[in-house]
Formats: sequence, structure tokens, C-alpha cells
Amino acid sequence: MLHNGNDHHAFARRINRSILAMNIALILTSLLGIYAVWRTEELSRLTIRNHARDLFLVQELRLELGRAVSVNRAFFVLGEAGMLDQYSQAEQAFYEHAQTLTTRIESPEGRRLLAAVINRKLEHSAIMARAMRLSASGSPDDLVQFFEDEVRPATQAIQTALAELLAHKTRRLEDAASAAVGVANTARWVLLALVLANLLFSLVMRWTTRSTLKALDQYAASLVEAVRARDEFLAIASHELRTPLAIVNLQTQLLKRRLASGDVTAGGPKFLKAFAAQVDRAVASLSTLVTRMLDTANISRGQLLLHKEKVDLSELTEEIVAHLEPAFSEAGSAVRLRSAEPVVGHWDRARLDEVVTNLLMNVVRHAPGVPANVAVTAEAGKARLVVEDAGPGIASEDHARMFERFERAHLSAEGGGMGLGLAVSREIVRAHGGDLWVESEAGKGARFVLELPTAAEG
Amino acid sequence: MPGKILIVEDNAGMRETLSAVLEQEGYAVVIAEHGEHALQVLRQSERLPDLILLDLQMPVMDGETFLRALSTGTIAGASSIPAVAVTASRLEPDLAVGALRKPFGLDELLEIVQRHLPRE
Repeated sequence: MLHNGNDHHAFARRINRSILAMNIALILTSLLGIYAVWRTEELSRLTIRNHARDLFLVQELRLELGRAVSVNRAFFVLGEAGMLDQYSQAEQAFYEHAQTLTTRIESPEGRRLLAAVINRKLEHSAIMARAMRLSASGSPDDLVQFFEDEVRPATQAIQTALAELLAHKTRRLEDAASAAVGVANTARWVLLALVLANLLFSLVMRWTTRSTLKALDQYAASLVEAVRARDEFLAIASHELRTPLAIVNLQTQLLKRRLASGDVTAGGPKFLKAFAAQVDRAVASLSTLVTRMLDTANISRGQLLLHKEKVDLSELTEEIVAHLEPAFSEAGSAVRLRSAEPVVGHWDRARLDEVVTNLLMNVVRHAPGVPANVAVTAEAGKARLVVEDAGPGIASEDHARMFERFERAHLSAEGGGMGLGLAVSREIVRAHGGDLWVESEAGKGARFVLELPTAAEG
Repeated sequence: MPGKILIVEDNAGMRETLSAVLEQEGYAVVIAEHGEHALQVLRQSERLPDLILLDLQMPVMDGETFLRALSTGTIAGASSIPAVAVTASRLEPDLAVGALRKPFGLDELLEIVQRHLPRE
């Protein structure tokens, strides 16, 4: 829980620090990814290079074979014995390359194909050895015949085997190349996604922190406002409580003093009657104030409990008007009530009594000596009570202020002008699902409208 | 001749209680409901009061405005009348000679009245 400004700023700083940490982690991960891609590429290149070199060696084999074939032909067809040296050179080179390839080629298929090439060559070499012996004894025609019958097929067999090896190596190279391209592509997309995710995450976190901070600031401001309102409320409440307390205090001490001097009878019943009336009024005023304070406290905590029952607003208003009649005549206010029929709803009788009494007492306080009209009517789903007077009226800029909780434009009014009357009344009416407002202009009288839903709820 | 005290107070209960106490003590008491009313009372009185007990928060004209009006000399001789503020707050107007803070007791009230209005 957050208790003050320092707390929530520390909280925000913690969030910011964790975002920074997450950003650093993401950047490190990204760098690691880039390194991995680089390594993959490097490895792919090595593989491709190996395959390319193998391919090159296979081509060399073909070349050497070609040399051997042409030397062979010269030897057999033209009978040039000197060609034999060149032939053995080509043969030696062929075997060297084949040897190199044997150490390089790793795949079983490649090894098998290479072994086939070497075997064909070994067969060819054996045939060539027989040709050497024949050249020493046989006729040139025999040699030509031998070339056609033995040497040429053996040479062709080697060429066929070599072609197969070449095709195999070419395939391997192409496979490696496309695999490398695939890896690189995948890595690129993964990295891009990572970067975007990082960006998105940062934005979301920043936004969250900012809105959290804003909410916290508002929270803090509302706390400050609540404390200010409470202080003001306490100041007003204690101020309002002091007058009736002073009356009770003075009256009691006066009585005590009389009792002490044995002079009770001096004032006689008249004094005692005055004493009782004063104390009674002061206590009534105190209890009204305390009730309103409790209501206000409950409303500010959202705990205004309504005890709803079936209430006739016309009847209730009639009762209140009759009850307040002495106050009206004392203030010289002629209050006329107009309520034709019962207006029944499901409301809290005591609270409604408080609201209507408050509205009527406002007339006495603020428009004394001026006639006032009270009307109770029913509309579709709504009950309406209108209190109208031809008094001094209220400037429109003051309307909203009048309903604020601690407004005390008329603080000094008797009977708890705590500035809570209208605010509490409106809260009570709104708790019923209705509304209370004023329509007035300075110098043109005031019209208070109370509206309540008649449909029973819950 | 008994000392004369003007009580300016909008709360009827308070007004009546103060009157009862002070009359009991033998003072002559006149009352007003607010500053404006008090000025009217002063203008019409043949003998000015010797002390004013003044509530500060009142409708129409509050206590401080009343004191300022008195100090300008609108009513001959009235600007020198000592005024005791009857207040619920700690603040005390400069123009008042003293203050009674609600809820004050009988002794406090009589003490401050006697200080500014000694009985013969």
C-alpha cells in the first residue's frame, strides 16, 4: 500500500529500474543472437568451401583421366612408346588426387562413389599392365584390337563412376548452399522479431509506468483534498458546536449559582421554564449537528444506508409543513402547499424528512417574509417536489458552490447552518437514484426541485 | 445607574442566555441581531452602552465590519465603547478589547465584563 508521495515515487523508480534491467537483458540477448548468426554463416561458408574444394578435386580427377586417355590413344593407335612416361605421370596424379579425396569425403554415399571410381581405375591399371606386356611381344594390330576390347570399356567405366561422384558432390554443394541461406533468413527474421518485441515491451512498460504515475499523482492529490476537506469539516463542525455548548454551559452554571445562593425561587417557575427551553433548544441543535456530521462522514465513506419503506411524499410534506408552521409564521413566510394526490414510492422516510425540512427551512432562512409555494406532483416513474419562493434568489455562479459539502455561505443560520444541509440532502436524494437541483437567478426568487424515482428498487 | 451592555448576537438562544445572565448580575441589557441592527440600536439610544458583547459571524453585517464602521465615528461617542468579541475561533479582531471563546463559562463571562465595566 502506498502511504505518501515518497512511497509512490519509490515504487515508480523501482518499476523504471526493472525496465532498464529488462532492456539491458534484451539487448544482450540480441547481441548474442547476432553473434550466433555470424557463427552460423561462418560455418555454412566453411562447409560450402569444403564441398567446393571436393568438387574441384573431382574435376581434377576427370582432367587427369582425360590426359591418361589421350596418352593411351597415342600409345595404342600411333604406337608411340614414349607416351608411356606421360601416362604413368597422369596415373600417379590421379591416384594422389583420389587419395586426397579419400581423406576429405565423409558421407557414406560419397565414400562409396569414390571407392567405385578407385576400383574402376585399379581395374584399368591392371589392363594397362597387360597392354605393356603385349606391346613387347604382339603386333600393332593386336594392340589396336586390345585397346578396343579391353582398354576403352575400362576407361568408360571410370568415366561413368566419376560422373556419378561429380553429380553427388554437386548436389551436396547445392544442398549446403540453400541450407546456409535458410539459416541466415530464419536468423534475420528471429532477430527482427526480437528487436520489435523489445521495442513493444519498452513502449508498453513506459506507458504503464507513466499512467501508473499519473494515477498515483491523482491519488495523492485526492488524499490531500480529502485531508483538507476533513480539516475544514472539523473546523466548521467544532465552530458550529460551540454556540449551543456555550448556551448549555452558561445556563447550567447560572442554575448552579442560583441553587448555591438558595435563590431558586427568586426567578420562580419563569426562570426554570426559560432554562428548560434554552437548554432544550441547544441540545436539539447539538443533536441535529451531530446527526448531520455522522451523515456527512458516512456519505464521504460511501456508507449511507437507506432504510426504505413505502412513503407518501404528499403526506410527508404535509406533515412537515404543519410541523414547521410556527417557524414560518415567526419569519413571516406564508408557505402554501399544493399536493393533490398521494405520491407513493419506496424511500427512506427519516432521510427524506430531513431533506424536505432542510429545503423548507432554507426558505425561512434566506427568504423571510416572502411567500413560498410547495408542490408535490407525480410524473411517469418520477415524484417531484418543488419549493419556490420570491426571495432574493441565487446568482447562477453560486449554484454549484451551494451544493458543495462544506459550503457555508449561511453559516450563522440557526439550527445548524453547517453548510452541510444542501450537500447532504443532494447525497441522500442521489442515493435514492434521484436528484436535487436549484433553478434561480439573482433577484428572481429561487426554485428547488427534488426528483425521486417512484419505481420500487431492489 | 447600572452599567449598560449591548449584545450583538444572531443566535436567539445565545442572545437570550447572555441577557438572562447579565440582567441577573444587575446590568442593563440591549440586544441586536446583527451589525446593521446594532448600528440602528446605537443611533436610537439616548444613552450609549458602556460595553459591547459582539458575535463575529453574523448575517447581514458581521462583527468585524460593525467594529470598523464604529471606528470611523459614524455614531458620535460610540467609537470609544470597548467591545468584547464572542467567537468560536482563536482569532481576535484588532478593534476588540478582549475575546470570549465559546463555549465559555459564567465566571469567564463575568470576569471579562467586570474588567471592562467595573461596578460602582
